[in-house]
Amino acid sequence: MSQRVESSAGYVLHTRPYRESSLLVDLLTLEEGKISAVARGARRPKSRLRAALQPFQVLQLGWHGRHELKNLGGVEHVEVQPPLSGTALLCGLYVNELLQRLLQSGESCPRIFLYYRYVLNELQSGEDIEGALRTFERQLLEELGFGLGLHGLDTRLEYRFESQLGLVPAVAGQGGYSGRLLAAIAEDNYRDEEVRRCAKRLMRQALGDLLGDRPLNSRLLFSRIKE
Amino acid sequence: MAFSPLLQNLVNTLRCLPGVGPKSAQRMALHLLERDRPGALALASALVDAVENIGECSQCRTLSEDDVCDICSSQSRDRTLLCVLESPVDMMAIEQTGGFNGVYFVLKGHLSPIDGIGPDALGIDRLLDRIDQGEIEELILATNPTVEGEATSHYIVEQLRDHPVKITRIAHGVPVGGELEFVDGGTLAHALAGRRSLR
Repeated sequence: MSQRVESSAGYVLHTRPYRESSLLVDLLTLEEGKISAVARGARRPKSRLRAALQPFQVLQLGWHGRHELKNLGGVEHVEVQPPLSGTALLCGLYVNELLQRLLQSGESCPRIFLYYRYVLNELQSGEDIEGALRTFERQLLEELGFGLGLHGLDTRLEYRFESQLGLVPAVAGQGGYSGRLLAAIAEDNYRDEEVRRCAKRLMRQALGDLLGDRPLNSRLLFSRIKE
Repeated sequence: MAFSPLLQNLVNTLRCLPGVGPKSAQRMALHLLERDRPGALALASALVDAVENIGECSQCRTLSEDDVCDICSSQSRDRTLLCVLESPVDMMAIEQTGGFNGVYFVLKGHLSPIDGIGPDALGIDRLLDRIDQGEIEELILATNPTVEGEATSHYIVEQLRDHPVKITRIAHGVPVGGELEFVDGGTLAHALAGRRSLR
């Protein structure tokens, strides 16, 4: 059975050249999660597709096909977001790389889609980029089935993060995560600088477990900018 | 009917060209062998020559058989103006307008974390070294108006944060002779954001 989707909300995560004049597009869609599709003729000089297929813009997409690689049909802009720039743009590329690496193709994940929208909005406004990124990372871990288990922790204890097990009580004073800070993370309350630092370290450790040996290139890029 | 092995090999090899499928490859091969053998020999030697001798210019990284390309070694060029581009094709496009008299630097790509293309692949260190030499007064970032092109310019700007060189970005907007009605939303947003004052 050929499967046809007429119109679904989606974002472009990444595009790369395919054959002579087409693009291979990775998309995050509301209904079917991450999918890959071929945009035929998108690299022809007069193609309108290429201008439409820019990351960080919400689109209405249609596609069809039986196999994992779909054929992209219609692409329409729903609303035009002002383009991301500067640090926010690099953060956006980081989020896209995370999704590209961690999401399984074809698995519906509407919650991730909503949080992706949220994090893009925050990047746009630029008020609390760091807090938004941490919130997104936490939700992503949760959705992937690697939730941190932040609720019901004792605020007086210290914890350490073990792969597979999650947070386990640890001896105090050995560089663990304080229960008080973890409680703030559980509420997505990142006003305190100490909480931010703790959250950054924790997410990095938890995501690092899932990402394996291959580091995130966007993170390497960040570290080179900060030098 | 199957072709002889040599002919079949020629047909297959011709298919490495862009826009050439099995049918056109076959037509080209038969044309060269039946009607234009001298042309075929000239083509073969030109290909070998080009592949063996064309490298990149040590200053701007464009394709060139000399160590320093014509544009970089030209005396009539303004060496205080450096335009940063993504590919040699972009350089040809700008050259054809005839409106630019500075020199170029070709990155041969753009930053793309997902594809694993980082600053080292783009020779950005070489670009920074060149700016450090102090001859350049204005750096024009003419990377493409895509997410990756923007990221590339942002990265270059950040690396030059403490450097006094003037940095500009090419304008993005409505094409000349175009009508607003037919311009896509993203371009219009760019055009509005980058508007300039007339008085």
